[in-house]
Amino acid sequence: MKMTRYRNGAVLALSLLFALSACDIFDVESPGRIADDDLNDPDAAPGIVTGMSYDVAGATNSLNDLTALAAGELFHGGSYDWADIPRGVILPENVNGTWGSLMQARYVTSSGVVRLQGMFTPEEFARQPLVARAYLLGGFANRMIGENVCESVAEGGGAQPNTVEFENGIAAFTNAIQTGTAAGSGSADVVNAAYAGRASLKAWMGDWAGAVADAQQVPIGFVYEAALMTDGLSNTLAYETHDRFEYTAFDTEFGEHPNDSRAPWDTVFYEDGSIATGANGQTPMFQQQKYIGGGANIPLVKGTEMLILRAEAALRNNDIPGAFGLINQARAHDGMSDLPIPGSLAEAWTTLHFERGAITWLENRRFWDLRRWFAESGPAHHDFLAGRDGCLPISEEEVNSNPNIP
Amino acid sequence: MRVTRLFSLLGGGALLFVANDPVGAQAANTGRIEGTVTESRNGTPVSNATVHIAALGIGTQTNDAGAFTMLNVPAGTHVVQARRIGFASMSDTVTVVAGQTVQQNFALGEAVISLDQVVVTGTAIATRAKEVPVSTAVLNAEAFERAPVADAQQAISGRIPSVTVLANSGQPGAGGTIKIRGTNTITQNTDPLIYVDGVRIFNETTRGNWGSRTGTNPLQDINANDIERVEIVKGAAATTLYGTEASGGVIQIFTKRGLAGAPQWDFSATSGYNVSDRWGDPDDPTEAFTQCDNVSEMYGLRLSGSNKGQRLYFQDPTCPSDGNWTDPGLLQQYNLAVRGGSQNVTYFVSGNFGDVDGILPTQNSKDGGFRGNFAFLPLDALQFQLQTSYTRRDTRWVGDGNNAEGFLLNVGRGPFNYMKGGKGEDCANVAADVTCVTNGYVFDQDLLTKTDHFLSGFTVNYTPIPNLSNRFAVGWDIVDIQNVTNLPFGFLTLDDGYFWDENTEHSKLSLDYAGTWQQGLLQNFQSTFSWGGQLFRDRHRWTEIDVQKFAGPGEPTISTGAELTYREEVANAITTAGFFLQEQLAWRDRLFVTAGLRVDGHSAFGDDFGLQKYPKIGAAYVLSDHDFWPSSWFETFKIRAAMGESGKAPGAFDKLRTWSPVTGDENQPGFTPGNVGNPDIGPERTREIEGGFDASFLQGRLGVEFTAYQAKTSDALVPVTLPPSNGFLQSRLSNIGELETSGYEAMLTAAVLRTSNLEWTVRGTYSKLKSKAGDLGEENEVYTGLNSYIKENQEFPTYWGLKILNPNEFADPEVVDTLLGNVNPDQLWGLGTTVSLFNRFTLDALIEHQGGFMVQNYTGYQNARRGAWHPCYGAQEKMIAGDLSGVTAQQRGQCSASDYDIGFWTEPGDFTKLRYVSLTYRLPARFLRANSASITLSGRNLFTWTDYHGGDPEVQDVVDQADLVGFNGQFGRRDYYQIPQSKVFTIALKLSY
Repeated sequence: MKMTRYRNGAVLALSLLFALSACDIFDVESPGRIADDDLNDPDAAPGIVTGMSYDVAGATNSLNDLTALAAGELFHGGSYDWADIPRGVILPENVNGTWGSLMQARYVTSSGVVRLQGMFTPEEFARQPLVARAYLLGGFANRMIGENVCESVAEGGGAQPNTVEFENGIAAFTNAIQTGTAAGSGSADVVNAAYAGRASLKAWMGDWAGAVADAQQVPIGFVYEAALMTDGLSNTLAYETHDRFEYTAFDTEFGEHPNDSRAPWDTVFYEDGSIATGANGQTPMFQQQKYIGGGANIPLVKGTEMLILRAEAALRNNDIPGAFGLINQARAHDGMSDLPIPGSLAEAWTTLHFERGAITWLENRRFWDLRRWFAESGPAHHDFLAGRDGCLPISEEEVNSNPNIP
Repeated sequence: MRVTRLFSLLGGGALLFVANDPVGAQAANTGRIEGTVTESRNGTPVSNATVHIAALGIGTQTNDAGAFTMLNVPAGTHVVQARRIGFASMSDTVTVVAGQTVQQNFALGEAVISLDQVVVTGTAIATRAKEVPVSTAVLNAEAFERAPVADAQQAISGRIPSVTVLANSGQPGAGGTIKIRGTNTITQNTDPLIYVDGVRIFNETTRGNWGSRTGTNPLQDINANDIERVEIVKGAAATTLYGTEASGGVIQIFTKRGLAGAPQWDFSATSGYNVSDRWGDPDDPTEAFTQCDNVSEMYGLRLSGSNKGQRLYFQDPTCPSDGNWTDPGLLQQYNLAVRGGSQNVTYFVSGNFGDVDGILPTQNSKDGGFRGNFAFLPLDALQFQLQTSYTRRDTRWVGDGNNAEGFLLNVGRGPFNYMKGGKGEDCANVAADVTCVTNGYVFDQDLLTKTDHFLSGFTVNYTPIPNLSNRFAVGWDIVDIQNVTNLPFGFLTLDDGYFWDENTEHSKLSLDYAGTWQQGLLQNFQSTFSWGGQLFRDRHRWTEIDVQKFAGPGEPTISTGAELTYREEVANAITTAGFFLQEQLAWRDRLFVTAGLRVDGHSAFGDDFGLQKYPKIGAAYVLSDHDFWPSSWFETFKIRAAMGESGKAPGAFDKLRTWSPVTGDENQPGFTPGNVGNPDIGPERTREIEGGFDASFLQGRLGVEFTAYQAKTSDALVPVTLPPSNGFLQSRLSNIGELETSGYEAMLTAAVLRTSNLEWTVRGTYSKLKSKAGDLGEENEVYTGLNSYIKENQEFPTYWGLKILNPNEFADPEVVDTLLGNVNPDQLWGLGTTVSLFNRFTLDALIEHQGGFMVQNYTGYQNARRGAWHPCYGAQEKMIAGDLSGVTAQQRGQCSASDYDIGFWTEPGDFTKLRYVSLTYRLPARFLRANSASITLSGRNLFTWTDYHGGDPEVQDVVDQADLVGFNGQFGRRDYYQIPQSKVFTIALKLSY
C-alpha cells in the first residue's frame, strides 16, 4: 500500500513533466526579434521602407572603402589585410561581404515592394509616398550592383550581364517618378532623385539624349544621400581615416590637388610636429575631410553630377564649349574658379575625367566611371585600369553556394 | 577596513549557529560516537574523512585534527564506516548506549584507487565508484590545497586527463578556456556544464572587455578554499542523464559542508608577487621593446620608400626610470571560514578577499565574496540544505590584444605604433631624427570588468523509508557582468574621448527532482531504480552602448557625449526540460549493469521536433571481489564499459526566420534581414562508447586508471551558406554533419616511498585525443575564421594556409597551401609529485604539457612586415641590400615586406610548464594554540619549455573570436599582442582553530 503511494507519486511527477513539455514553456522569448509574418501588418510599412534605406546605405557604405582603393581614390596606408585589391587584383574571396550587402539591398527593396503591394489597394499603392521611396531605393540598389559587378546574379539564378541591373534600375526609377508624382509635392525629393538615378542609367545604356533630358530635371543644388548615423550604421571611411589611420590620400590623383573643396584632405601632424603615418607605420597620413563623423551621409545623386553628365554628353557630341559651360557651372556651385576652355578634345576629356572624379570623390562612382572610360577608345579613354581589375567578380560565397554558377 | 567589516559580519552570523549547544541537542534515547581517523602507517590525522552509519543515513566529517563527533545516534548496535579519497574505507561495529559517549577510532590504510568513494551521477543518491560504468575524475581538495591556486579553474588545470585548460591571458582576473575530451561540435558551445552543490550554474566563457580583449569564466567565481571536491563527468556515455546540453561534459563542484561539533575556524592569508616572465622571441634583445631603455636596439627598419633599409631609431620619454615597463605586482588573498553545528543543524560559512596587482601599471583585480552552506535535519528521514554564495570581482585591465590602444601592440611595434608625439613637452628632448613614441599614455585608459555572481540553492533530501530516496532542488544563479572601456577626454589618440559600456545579465532558474528506489531481488541481486525530472529556464540580456565626443574632462556617462551609439540589445529566455529513468542491477555487489533513458524538450528545437531521447547502457565488473583474485598484491581491479548519448541544443533563434530592428534614416525604426531560420532544426546528438579499467597494486602503492573512448556526433549543426543573391546573408544551421572524436587517457598514481618519516608520491596523467570531421553534407568544408577550417575527413579544427617546405635552405621559399596543424592541443600530460618529510615538510610540484597544436603568432607577423621584429632585422637588411647569402627560406618568407602570410607564422604551440612548486611546513600547532597551522612557499608558472616564438602559447584574443563560427576561442586562437602569463611567487599561512 505504502509502495503503491510512492510509485503513484513518481508517476505523477513524470506526468507533470510531460504536461509541461506539451504547453508553451518551450517558447523562446525574444524581445527585439521580429518574425517574418509580423511584417505583413500595414503598420510595419514605414519600418519596411526605413529598412530598405538602411540596407541601401549599408551597401553603399560597404562598397565605399573597397572601390576607393580599387579606383585609386585613396591609398592603403593601414594594417588591414586587403589582399591585392589596392594593387588592382580583386578575387572572389575578397568581395564576400560587399557582394552580400549589395544582394541584400536588392532583396530587401524588391521583396519589400511586393510586401507593400499586399498592404494597399491598387489605387493607394499607385500614389503612396512610401511606395515611391521603395522604388527609388530599389533603383539605387540596382545601380550600385550594375556599376560595380562584372556579372550579376539574382535569387540564386545564373550569371547575367551587369546591364540587366541597369534595365531593372531604369524600371524602378520610372516607377518611383510615376508614384512620387502621383503622391504629390511631399515626394518631390524622391522624384528628383529618381530622375537623377535614371539619367545615369540611361547614359550607361547608351541613351545619352534620354540621360540629358532626365538630368535637366534635377536642380543644381539637389543632393540625395544614403543616410548614415553616429548611433547606428556609421560611415566607415570616417572611422577608418579619423579614428584609425587606414587610408590616406597620399600618392593618389586627388592627393596632388590639396585645395579642391570637392575632394578635401588634410595632412595630419603629431604633437611634436612630425607628419603622422598610417596604421602601417610608414605612409604619410593625408586625411580625407569629406566624411568626418560617423553620421556623415554618402551622396547617391547630386545636381552637380547631373551637370557633369550633361557635359559628358556634350563632349560625346564634340561640343567642348558647351561641356565646359556645364563644368564651370558645377565648379561655381562648389566655389571653384572657372576652367579655361581647352583647345582639344583630348584635353577636354582629361579635364572631365578629373572633374567628375572630384565631384563624386568617395561616393562609389569612380570605379564604374574608370571602367566605362577604359572601355572607350579615342579621347574618352582612361587608362587607370590598365592591368587592373575593373569590377567585382561574383563572390566566392555565391559561387560555392549557388548551383547555377559553374 | 572593508575586509574587517566583512569578516565581522560573517563571524557574527556564524556565531548564531555556534551558540546552538550541540550537546544539549541530544535526545534522551540517543548517545554519541566520537573518535579520530588517522593514517594507519604513521598516525597522521585524516581530515575531511566521512564517518557515517549507512543504515541510518547519518554521518559527519572529520576536522583538521582528524576528530569527529556523531551526535544523536539511536541506541543500539550500528556499523560505522569511515572513508576518504586516497584511503581504503574501514567499517566497525559500535554499540551506542543512550546518554553515553562511545569512542571509536579508525586507522585507514592508503589506497590510490578506492572503489568505495562515492560520486554523483545525476540520480538522487551518491553512487560508489565501483558501481559506475564510466570514468569519473574526482579531485579532492587535498590535491590542490598546498598549490598556489585561487579558484576552481586553476584547481583543475593540468590534473585530469582529457581536460584542457588554456589560460587565454596573463592579466589578473582573466578567465580561461576549458574543454573536456576535445571538440564535438562545430557551431555550439563546448563549455562543460557546471554544477555547484547540485545546482546548475551559468557556464559560458564570457565575451571579453572590448579594450582588454579578455573574458572571464564562471569557474573563477568559486574560491578554491571553499571546494571540498570536484568531479568531472567527461563524455556522452557518462553525461546522458544530464541531457540535451551535456555533450561537452559536466564539472561538478562540491563545496565544504558543516560538521557536527564545536566550531572550527580556518584562516588563510596569502601574499606574494606577480613577476614578469620573458616576453617574445629569445633572439629579441629588447623583449618586444618592453625593455625600453636599450637605446642601441630601439629601432625599426624602413621596408619601403626611398629610405628603404634605413634604421628608424625611436625614444620613449614615458619609459619608466628603471627602463622596463614591468614591475612586480603585489598580491594578497585572505580567507576565513567557520564550520560546525549539531547533529540537526550544520553550517559552513566563509568569506574571502583578494587583491592582485599585475606586472603593468594599473592592472589590478579585486575579488571578494562569501558562502554559506547550511543543513537542517528535522527528522532522520528529512534534510534541508541551503547554499548561498556571492562573488564580486572588479578587474582593471591594461589594453591588450588586437587593439590600437593596446599595450603590447604599441610598445611592441617600436617606432611604427600609434602612441606617438606625446603631449606638451614630452618630446622636447628627443632628437629630431629620432621618432618620439609615448607609450605611457596607454595607461590613461580605464578598462574595467565588474562581475557579480549570486548563487542560491535549496535542496530537500527525503528518505521516508530506507529503500526510497528523494531529492528536490531549486537553484537560482545570477551573473551580471559590466564591461567598460573608457578613453578619457584628452586621450592621446582620441582627443574627444570614447566610452563603451556593455552589460550582460544571465540568470538560470533550475528545478530538479530525482528519486531512487533500492530493492533486493532474489538472493544475490540488488535493484536500484532512479527517476527524475529537471527544468532549466535561462534568461540572457546583453546591451552595448558607446559614446564619443565628450565636451571636456570628467567622469564620462552615456549622456555627456555628443555621439551616442546604442549598438545592440539582445534578450531572450529559453527553457530546457526533461526527465530520466535509470535501472541499475547489481549482482553480488560485483557486477553492476546500468541502463537509462533521458528525454528532453528545448525551446530551440524545431516546432515539429518533439522530445528527444538519449539512451545509455553500461556495466562495471569488480573482478577483484572474487575469491580467486590475488588480492595480496593486486587489491583492486574493475573493468567497465558504457555506451550513451547526449546532446547539444541549437541556439535560441536558430529555428526562426527573423528580421532585426535597426535605426535608419533620421532615427526611424526599420527592419533588416536577420536569421534565415530552419524550422526543422534539432539537437546535435553525440553517442559515445568508452571502456577501461581501474586497478591498484602493492598494498595501495600503485594505482592505474585507463579509459579509451570513441564518440560520434551525428546531426551536427553545420552552417550552410545560402546564395547571397537570395538576400539573407547569414548561413543556416542544419543537422547534416558527422563528427568523430576518439582517444585514450590514463592516470597513474604511485606511492614510491613510504616510511614513517618520508613519503613520496607521484601522479601522472596522459591523454591523447583526435577529432575528425566526417560527412558535412552539402558543405565539404566550413571556414571557421582566422584560417581555421573544418574539412571533411580531416582532423578538426585545423589551420590551413601557406607553408614553407624548405625552411632551412638558403633559397627562395617553396610554398604550398596546405594543412598547417591543429588549433587545439591533442596531447596532454601532467606530472605531479608530493614529498613529505617528518610529517612536517611537504614539497608539491606539477608539470603540465599540452602539445600537438599550432598558434598564430600575430605579434611576429605584424611586426615583421612593419620592420619592428628584431629577429628579422638581419635578414631584412640583407634582402633590401640584395644580398641573400645566409638568408634561409624561412627568413625570406617570414621577414618579407611584401609577400608575407600568416601561414608562415603559424607555429607549433606545444609547451611544457612547471605549473607550480610549493613547499609547506606544518608548524607545531601548540605554539599557536591551533588545531593545525602551516606555512607554504610557492611559485606558479615558474618555467616554460616551448619552441613558440611569441609571448605565450596559452593566450588568445578572446574578442577576436566572438563573431566567428563557433563560440569564443573554439576555432582559431591567435596570439595578437597578448600579455603573457606572469610568474607568481607566494607565501601562505593557514591556521585552523
